[in-house]
Amino acid sequence: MKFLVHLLCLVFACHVSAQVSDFDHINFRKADSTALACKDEGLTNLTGLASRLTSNLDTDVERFRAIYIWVTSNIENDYGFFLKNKRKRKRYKNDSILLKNWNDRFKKDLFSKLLNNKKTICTGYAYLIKELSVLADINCTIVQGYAKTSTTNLDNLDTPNHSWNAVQLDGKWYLCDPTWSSGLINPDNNQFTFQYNNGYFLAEPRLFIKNHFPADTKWTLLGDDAPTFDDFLESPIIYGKGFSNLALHNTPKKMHNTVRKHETVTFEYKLHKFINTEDVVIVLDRGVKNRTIKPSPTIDKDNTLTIEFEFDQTGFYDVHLMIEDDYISTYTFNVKK
Amino acid sequence: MKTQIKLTQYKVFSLAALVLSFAMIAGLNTANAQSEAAKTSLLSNVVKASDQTTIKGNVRDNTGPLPGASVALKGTEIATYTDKDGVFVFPQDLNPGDILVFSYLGYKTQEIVIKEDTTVLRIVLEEELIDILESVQVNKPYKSKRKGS
Repeated sequence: MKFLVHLLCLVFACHVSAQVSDFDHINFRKADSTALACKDEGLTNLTGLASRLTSNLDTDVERFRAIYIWVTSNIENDYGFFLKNKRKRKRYKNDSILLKNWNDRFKKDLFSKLLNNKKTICTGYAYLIKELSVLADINCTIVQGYAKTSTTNLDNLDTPNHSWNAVQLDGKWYLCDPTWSSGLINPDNNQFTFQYNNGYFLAEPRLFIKNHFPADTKWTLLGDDAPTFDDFLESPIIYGKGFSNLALHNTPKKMHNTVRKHETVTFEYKLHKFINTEDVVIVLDRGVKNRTIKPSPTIDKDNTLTIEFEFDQTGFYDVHLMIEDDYISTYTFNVKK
Repeated sequence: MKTQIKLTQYKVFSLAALVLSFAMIAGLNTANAQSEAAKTSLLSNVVKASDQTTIKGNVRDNTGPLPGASVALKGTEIATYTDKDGVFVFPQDLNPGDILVFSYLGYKTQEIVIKEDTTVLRIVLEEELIDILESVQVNKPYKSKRKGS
C-alpha cells in the first residue's frame, strides 16, 4: 500500500512543474531568521558562513532558503560599476588584447568589491548562491541566458545578458533569480534599493520563461514543452510585482497584438493568492494620455483571474495590467476598425 | 568529479614524495639550481606523517600565490587564511577523513579529504570561468516608441 502511494506521488510529481508551492508545508520563518541573525557576516570565510546559515536547519529547502535570503538581503547591486564595464567593453571591442586585459582586471575588481563591500552585479549574486549552496552540500548551478525587462532593447539581445540559478532540492530542479529578488534600480540615478521579491524564489518555470531564456535550453526545466527563443522574445513583459502576484500567465500569449474594435480580448492569470477584484486596473496608454479602467474581473475557486475586455476606440495602445497600484504586465494592442 | 580531483592531487603528491626520496637515497645531487630549489622548498614543508596531523601548505592560481584564500574545516566555522605568500598552517590538528575546503571568491572551490599521511597540501585553485553579465529590475513601465512623440 505504502509503495502504491509512493508510486502515485511520483507519477503525480512528474506532471507538476517544480515551484515554491511544492514546499507549502514548510514554514520558512526559521530559515529567514537564521539569515537575519547572520546579517553582519562578511564573505572572507564562505565555508563558515555556509555553516552558520545552514547547520541549524533540517531540510535542504530551508538551508537553501537561508542562503537565498542572506544573499538577497545583504549583497547590494552595483549597477554603476557594471555600466563602467559596458563602456570599456565597447571601447576595446576591436582590440582583443586590451579587451582581455580589461576583462581580467574587471573580474578581479568585481570579486574584491564583493569581498570588501558586499556589492556586485548579477553574475556575482548567482556565483555566491552557487558557492554557498555547494558548501552546504546542495546541488546548485549558475544559469546564463537572456533576460527581458520593460527597458530591454530586444534588437540588441544577441548575446546572453543575465545570470541566475538552478537548484536541486529533493531530487527536483528549481529556478530562482537572486539579482531580481534583491531589489530595484532607480533608472534615473542608477541607485539600488533593497526590496526583497519572493516571486523569483523557486519560481514556476512556465512563468519564469516569459523573461528568462537560458542559453542551454535544458534549464528551462520544461523539457519538450519549452518555447523557442522567438516565443520568448514575443512574450509579454512581466514585472517584478507580476512574479509576486501571479503563479501563471495564460493570456494574452504575446506582447504585440492586433484586434478589431469591440472584439473580446481575454486576460487570464493564475494568482498566488486571492486578491480583491477592486484592486485590478487596466491602464490604456495612447502615447499622450492614459485612461484607467476598472475591468470588473472574475476570480474563480482555483484563483484564476479572468478579464473580458473590448476596446471601444481604434488606435495603438500600451496596455498595462495593474494590481494595487503595481505594474503586473504590459502588452501592446493595435485596435483596428 | 570531486573524487577525481582528490585522487589526482593525492597521486601527484605521492609521486613527488617518491621522486624526492629516490633522489636522496641515490645521492643524485645534481648541480641544477632549479631542481635544488624545488627540493628545498619541498623539504621545508614536509612533516613526518606518523606523529603529526598538523596540516600546512600553500594555495596558488595559475599566475602565482593566492593570498587571503580561505581554508576551512568542512561543517565547522574553523578556518584560516593564506598569508601574502599563499601559505597556511591549519590552526587545528586534523584526523583522516576530515575535509578541508579551499575557497576564494572568483575561484572554483576545492575539497580535500585528509588521508593518514597527509601533511602538506599544495592547492591550485582554478578560476571560475564566467562571463560577467548584468540585467537589472527597474520599476519603470514599458513605453512604446511612437512616431512624432
